[in-house]
Amino acid sequence: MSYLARRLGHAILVLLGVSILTFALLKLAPGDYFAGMRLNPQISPQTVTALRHAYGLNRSLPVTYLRWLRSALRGDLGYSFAYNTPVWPLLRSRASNTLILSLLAMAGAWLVAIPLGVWAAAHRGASLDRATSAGTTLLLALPDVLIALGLLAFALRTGWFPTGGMASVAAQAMGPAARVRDFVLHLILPAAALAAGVLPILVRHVRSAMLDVLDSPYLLAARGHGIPRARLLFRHALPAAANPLISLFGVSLGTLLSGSLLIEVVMSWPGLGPLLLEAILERDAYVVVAAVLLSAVFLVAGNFVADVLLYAADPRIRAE
Amino acid sequence: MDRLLEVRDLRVCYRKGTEPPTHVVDNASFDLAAGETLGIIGESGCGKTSLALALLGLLPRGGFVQCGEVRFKGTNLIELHEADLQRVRGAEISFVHQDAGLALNPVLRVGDQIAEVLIAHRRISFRQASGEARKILAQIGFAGHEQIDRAFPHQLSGGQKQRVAIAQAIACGPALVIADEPVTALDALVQVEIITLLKTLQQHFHLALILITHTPAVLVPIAHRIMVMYAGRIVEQGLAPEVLQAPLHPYTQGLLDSGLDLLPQESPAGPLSSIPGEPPNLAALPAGCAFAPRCSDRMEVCQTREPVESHSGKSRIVRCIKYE
Repeated sequence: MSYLARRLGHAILVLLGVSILTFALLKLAPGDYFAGMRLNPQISPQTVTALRHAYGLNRSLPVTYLRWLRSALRGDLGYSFAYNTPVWPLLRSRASNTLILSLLAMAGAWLVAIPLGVWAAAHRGASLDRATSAGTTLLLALPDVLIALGLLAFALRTGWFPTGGMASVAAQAMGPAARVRDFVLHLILPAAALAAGVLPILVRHVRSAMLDVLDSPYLLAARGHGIPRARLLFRHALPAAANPLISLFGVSLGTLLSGSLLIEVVMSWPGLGPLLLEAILERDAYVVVAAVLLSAVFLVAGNFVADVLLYAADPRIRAE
Repeated sequence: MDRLLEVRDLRVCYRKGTEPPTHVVDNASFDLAAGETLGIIGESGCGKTSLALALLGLLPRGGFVQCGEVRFKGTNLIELHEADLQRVRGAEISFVHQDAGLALNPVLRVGDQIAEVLIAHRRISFRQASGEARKILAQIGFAGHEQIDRAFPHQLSGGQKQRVAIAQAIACGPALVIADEPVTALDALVQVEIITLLKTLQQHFHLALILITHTPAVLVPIAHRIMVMYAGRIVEQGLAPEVLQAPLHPYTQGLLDSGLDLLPQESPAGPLSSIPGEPPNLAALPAGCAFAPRCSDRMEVCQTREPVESHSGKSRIVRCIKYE
């Protein structure tokens, strides 16, 4: 219980810190949403000043922050200048698109990484292990953008996959089954690009965690008891190697919202990425703050989930 | 007496990088009868653990058997494939490792770890195996400890962990148990308990037992025969009372000088071993007898010529130029 309370207090501190920092950085950077208007000869400086006044951009940083904080605590995250709507509904639909994409990519990456990493560790030094290691190095060295562009080129050449967006223009006219199919086809390439970016890191972590355990005396002992190889790897070694992997899993949960920004922009997935990019470029301050805050919530939650899983998985941690 | 295990001219090597392989066990030959306890004794690094691991094909990376035979019930284990060896390990020949605290999986319940051995070798459901594991635990000194099978290794004492490791080793009713320093990591009192347990099990199941240790006192209550190793060679072997009471090899004499009491009345003041010097580096053995530099009975010939085995009496073998 005290552990939960401590965690919660910690989370609140982190979120406060993140919001203050985001606010300060946005304020410190020159210009604001209405700065561009000053260059427009058709808008008088008085109008710009009046707009800035109306949106409260003339106030000092502490005052702006405290006013924002007060309304945020009531559930109002502010107003988007560019979209002319409240921030939260805008953010919510975009964040759920990002979540669908990231969750699928992460599930795919882990499902491939665990057997591949275990297998590479079990064949340490063999040609198959070296091939895996070369493959992951290559994927790691390729910039994510390049992978995304490669996949886009692939889609264009073959015509098997649509490029960009989450639905075809004609989706509205489709039946439910066809619409799901259309959505899945749109989802596959961005998810593959995203998964390809994290896969090599996961494979390497699984492999090295397994190597540590495979050299342990208790694995030698289990082998001495004639435990068959597959069972040795997955029932005896993998649970013992799980701790660093669970921590990594928590971190990857934390990056669910922020990890896919680049891929979303390049492959025009209507998630948080393009929204945040535009918002930053246009100084749509409250959208930026809310998006960053949401990412921070995921980070904190991911670490918390990892802690809970570690507690459940390792009897030694439970004992402390 | 039928021979359960026959080891002939076994040579175990380790290879590191491109250097020539180091012989950690050389020319090892011995027999073991069913139900017999053989004690292997020597300082650490003398090759006794490598010898034991080589019997079951469990050598770590870089280790390999260069030549020789290990015949178990007539089959040469050295020639067996990994899949066939796996059926022998744990079922016919099992291993108790040096430190049970390290040899038990920290994230599996001890009952499950015993059940795993049963599942590996028998057509048995997990539930049946768990029930069996509870029975074995009760037999092995955990009677009255309900729920001990649900415990994790870190919740047990050192002696309890070693009992669990022994339970794993005997779960499938093997003919031979190899115990590598099974009591070294334990308190003196618990050492006596574990040795007594091994002796009871050995008599009850008619087990053959190979007991590896560097403290001769451990062997006194249990060993039928004793084999002494130095620098990868078997330097002396014979019946336990003969070797313990009338050691022939100067190295054995030195080892036994360190005492035969498992529970010494007063702690020894001096160093445990009364043999001066350090065990030699196996990668750079001196010419002649490997023990010569530390030997009190050294002769000139010892530094130039390797000793060969000489037999004295029925089953007494010693490798020392003095007795040739």
